[in-house]
Amino acid sequence: MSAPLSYDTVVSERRQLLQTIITPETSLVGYIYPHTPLELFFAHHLTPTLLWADHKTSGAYEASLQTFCCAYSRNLFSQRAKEQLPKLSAIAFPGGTCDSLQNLGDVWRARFHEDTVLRLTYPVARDEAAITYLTEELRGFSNHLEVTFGSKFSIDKYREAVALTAEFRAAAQFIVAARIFQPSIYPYPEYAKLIRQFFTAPGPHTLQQVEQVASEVQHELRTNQLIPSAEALRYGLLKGQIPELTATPERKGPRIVVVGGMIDPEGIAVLFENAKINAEVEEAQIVLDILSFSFRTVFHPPSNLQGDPFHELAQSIISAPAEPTQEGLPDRLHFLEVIFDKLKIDGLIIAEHSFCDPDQFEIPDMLKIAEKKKVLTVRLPLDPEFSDRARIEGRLQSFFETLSVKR
Amino acid sequence: MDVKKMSQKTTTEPPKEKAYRKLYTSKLLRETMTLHILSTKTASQNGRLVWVTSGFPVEIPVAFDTVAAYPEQYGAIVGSEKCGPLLCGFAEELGFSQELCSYARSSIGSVKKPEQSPLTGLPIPQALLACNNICGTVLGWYEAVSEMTGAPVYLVDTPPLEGDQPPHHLAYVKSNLEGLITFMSETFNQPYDEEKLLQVADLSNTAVNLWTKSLEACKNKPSPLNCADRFLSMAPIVALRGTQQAIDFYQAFYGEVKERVKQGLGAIREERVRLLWDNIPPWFTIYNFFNTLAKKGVVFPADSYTHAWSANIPRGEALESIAQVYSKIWLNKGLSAKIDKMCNLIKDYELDGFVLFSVRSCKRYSLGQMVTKEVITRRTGVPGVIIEGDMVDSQQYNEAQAETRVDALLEMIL
Repeated sequence: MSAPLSYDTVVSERRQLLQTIITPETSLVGYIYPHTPLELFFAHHLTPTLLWADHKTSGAYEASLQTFCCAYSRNLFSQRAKEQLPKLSAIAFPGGTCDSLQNLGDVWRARFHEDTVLRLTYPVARDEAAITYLTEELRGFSNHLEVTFGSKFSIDKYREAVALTAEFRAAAQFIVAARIFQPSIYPYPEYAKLIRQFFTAPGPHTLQQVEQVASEVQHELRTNQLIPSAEALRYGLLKGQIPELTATPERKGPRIVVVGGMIDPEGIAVLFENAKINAEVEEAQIVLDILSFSFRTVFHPPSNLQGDPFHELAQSIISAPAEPTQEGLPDRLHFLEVIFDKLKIDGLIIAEHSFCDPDQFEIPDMLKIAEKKKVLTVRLPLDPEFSDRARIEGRLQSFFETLSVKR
Repeated sequence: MDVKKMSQKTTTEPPKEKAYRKLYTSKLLRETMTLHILSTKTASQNGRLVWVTSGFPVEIPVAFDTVAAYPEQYGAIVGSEKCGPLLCGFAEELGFSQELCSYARSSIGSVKKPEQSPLTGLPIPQALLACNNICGTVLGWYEAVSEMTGAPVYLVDTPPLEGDQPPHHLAYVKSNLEGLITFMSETFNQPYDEEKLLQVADLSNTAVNLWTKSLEACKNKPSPLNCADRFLSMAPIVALRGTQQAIDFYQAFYGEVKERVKQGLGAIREERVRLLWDNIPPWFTIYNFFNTLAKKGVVFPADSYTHAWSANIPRGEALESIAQVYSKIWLNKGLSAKIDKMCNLIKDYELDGFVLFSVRSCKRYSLGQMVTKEVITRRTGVPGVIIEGDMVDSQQYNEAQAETRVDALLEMIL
């Protein structure tokens, strides 16, 4: 039986990893929204790092934010108030995504005058007009970065960054597709760790790790003659259309999908693995997550290097799998239904951040689809601090036990 | 008490004068809104009802001869009827989190169980028109209702502004309005008539001007209107903007306001303290809250909410003008714009303090109030207080706690 996973280790590893990329010359920009264009920061000689929630930080927001602010925003604010964030040259907030993050940016500016607060505003729509709008937002944002940091947009740096993110995504997408066929090929917690490492410290070193894993996975699939099937699935996922599987997926235990928004995949992995141990159902596997910080950002289509960089970045962002903050609920529901049908799913874990409106509005319709498809569901009301951890693990254990009986 | 004694008491003691004055136009308001409610039912039967959000450019659906119903206004009715927890509970049974907006939950609950809802719910719409200039919640809410009713959603996307509106923002919002025109033409099988839209915009401006003048009359001392007066009388400016009915009502309403000013009659009998109100009110206790304070001589001549419907659509290219006006709703302009506005209201209306209602349902409006309170006091020198609760879900409101906090504020002022 495996040893329980520790979230403390996860958080401490993140901090250590970040230290490895910080030099006196590094200008680190923290960002929050999963679709933030990393390439644009690199093009201005800046290093983007995703600001993760920290489960050990809480309770420093009360003088500035009400409790009904979303749990992720509260946690980030508390980290800043307790000076536990890494040393940042700036922090980039999203505009137009959700009310909590919109207002958090304003409150941050008011409370931490010494911080450089950036804002990139995204459209909610996903059409051509939205791409045009976002193109100009990105151009304006780039100008703002130039003025703020005195570093011009470098086309060479931009191209390097596009290559970096494209290579990372291609490798990560392949691992995702391979895991759908054969989840045991690479454990979910390890996958979540790879993703975290890259978004914490995007660069050649973390890219190499992802590529190495992808290569090992490829080798294993080759033995089973699954590479064409995995590639077809990867391509389909990239287009938002899942093809009929051309090979039978592995079914050692219940096949589970996790859905949610800006939830830490490693946090989910810790909860999942520990609950599995307690329920004695080691064979249950997360075969796919549809979380913001993994699936939705991993399946960005690559930017085309030929056109206007800002337009190409906008096109990539708008074409990525939609967040619940964007239009398109019917499409997202349809996608989930197809996943249930084609990927042989037994169970659905719905991870919901406390006071996250966009996610919470979609849950009832997801439940309906799961019921229609006879997929067992469990809802996990979470905050980054796992303040209700015992109850959450209890829910997961019951879920596993019911899945076992059902099988 | 027996009947005889009671009768004696009534004859010997004159009826106690209420601390507040009732508006005589409240009867016209009731009639206007009743007719509107009836018209929404007929429109639904005729396939011409749209649901719209409060910040939606309603002039466009009006120009397409559709009737607009407002779920937020319906939420206010649900709150006033004190059945918020019941209807929100219906939505929660469907899986909607208790943490979601209570306007949304009560609306979804009423769609689920109209027979148990006030007025048997809003009539079923043929289209759902949302504009996210007031909050991001409207998208999830309307998409959820769409899944229940089958009515299609059209979102006018107005990304939040920081400072002036850049050309690409205006172009984007305008393109959304052009999409709306196409959507309305196709959904309701009717061609677009720009001249008609301009006429509707003129009607809208006329009503908005009358409403704005009524609000500005509250700079007078005593203030001719209190908070509850404005919150109830804003119904036509929200729901009937762009129609003659709204103008008819506000002509009468402004007439009464002017008369009060002329005669020196205040909304409350003895005005001692003038406060600013921030946010949607607790609809389930709106009379009780403001009238209890009226007895203490507290009037609210201004608020940050009812002033939201005060912008005129300039004559010119219709869609561009509408795109400009509806992008610049101050809730869409960030915290500093809101603070500036509130400071100006305090100065212009000569207010002694302010009450910020922290509405759990409304993140866009409420998050930031703690900073707001500090900044306003620093800039204006007047004290303020935050009270907590909700606009519809009375389970989230503690009346005694709210009273205690406002009393503490009054001690600072008096």
